[in-house]
Amino acid sequence: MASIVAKARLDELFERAVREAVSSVVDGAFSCRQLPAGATVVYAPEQPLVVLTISSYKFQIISLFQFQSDPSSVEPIARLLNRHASLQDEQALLDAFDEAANMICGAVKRYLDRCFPHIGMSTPFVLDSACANHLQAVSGGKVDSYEITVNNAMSFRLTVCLVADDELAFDFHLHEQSVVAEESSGELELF
Amino acid sequence: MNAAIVSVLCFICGAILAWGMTRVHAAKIALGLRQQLQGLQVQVDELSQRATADEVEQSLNALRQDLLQHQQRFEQERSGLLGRLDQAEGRMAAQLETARLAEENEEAYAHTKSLLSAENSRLMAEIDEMLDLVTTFERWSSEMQAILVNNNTIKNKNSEFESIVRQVVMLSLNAAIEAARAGEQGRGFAVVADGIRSLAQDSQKLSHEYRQNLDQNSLITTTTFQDLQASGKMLRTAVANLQASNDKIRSMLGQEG
Repeated sequence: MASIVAKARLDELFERAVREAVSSVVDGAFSCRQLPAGATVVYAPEQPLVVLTISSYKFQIISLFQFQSDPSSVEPIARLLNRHASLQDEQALLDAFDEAANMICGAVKRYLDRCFPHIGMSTPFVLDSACANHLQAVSGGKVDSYEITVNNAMSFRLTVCLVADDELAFDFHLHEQSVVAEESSGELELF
Repeated sequence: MNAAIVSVLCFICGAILAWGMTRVHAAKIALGLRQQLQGLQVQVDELSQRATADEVEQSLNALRQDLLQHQQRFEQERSGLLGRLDQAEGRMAAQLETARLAEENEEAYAHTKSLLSAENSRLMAEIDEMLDLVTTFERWSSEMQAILVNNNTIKNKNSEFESIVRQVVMLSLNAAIEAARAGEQGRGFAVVADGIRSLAQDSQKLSHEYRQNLDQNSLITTTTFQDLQASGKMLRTAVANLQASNDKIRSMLGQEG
């Protein structure tokens, strides 16, 4: 199991990536609240789970994004992805969730590229939100969930699981430069 | 008496003669001495014109000092030259040795280069095989995708089953109600309805557990599939970098050849 320090560094990196991505399109208070250990993901059919994996020789990072479908949560995502048309169609909404998660994980992966020579990232996949409850049993890694709220309007849940040895150390420093360094057109990037 | 007088006169004459001769001899000696003295005086005068004895001594000392310094400088320069000569001889010897070693190693170098080229070619072939392995990962990813699709199909069918079971539970409840209304005649039917309801509830419970297993299965399959996909991309990048490095080595070997 990965060390607590390594997991904390990784969570910090994810928070930074989410903050920068969201803050670029939404002004307002940003809150990232860690949920209690073993918090059950709320099962909601309208809140699909977007799963993305970042893998290296030494570790596997599983990230789960649970976006909400209400207009106040969807609109910032549409702006982030430069989608001017309304995301009413269910498939279009799912695609937008996929791309938003892909963008955030892509930023994390780019930053980790500086520390580890070989890293790959999967394409996003949508599951039932109830699947998140089995993450601990599946991976056996360190799992932490966060409730992210922006401007008291947009909110979504992010769960990060790190599967690695205790000796793994994320010896990187978050510099002043942006984690989300590149603008994305919103399309799925091939990492 | 006359003899004595003659003797005295002879003696006196002899004395006078001796005196005279002595005077003459002395005069001659004096003259000679005077001449020598004059000669020496002339020499002394000559020497005096050149330098006094002290000055000569001083000049000689200065000359000796000068000579000594020149000798010392000469020795230093000679030592320096000898040292440089030794160094030059040493360098020449080293160069000769290097040339000798180079000549001896030229054959070994050619052999090593040949081995390197052969290893490079083998590495190229192995890299090509590894790229094929990455393709295998992509094939596995596609197969995993099929498993995920099948898993979703099973979940959908389970949902339908759950729906049917809920309906059976409802029906069994209704049947139990109707059986109760029928009174004594409906008792047997009520037992059957209760049995069906019990079975339906057990099915419902099993269906719920099955759904959870399917959710877990979906997550396991998805994360495994994604790990495979990400690892495939990682390996592709690593192998591509290896290929680039190998091409660079090959190019370097080719340039030297």
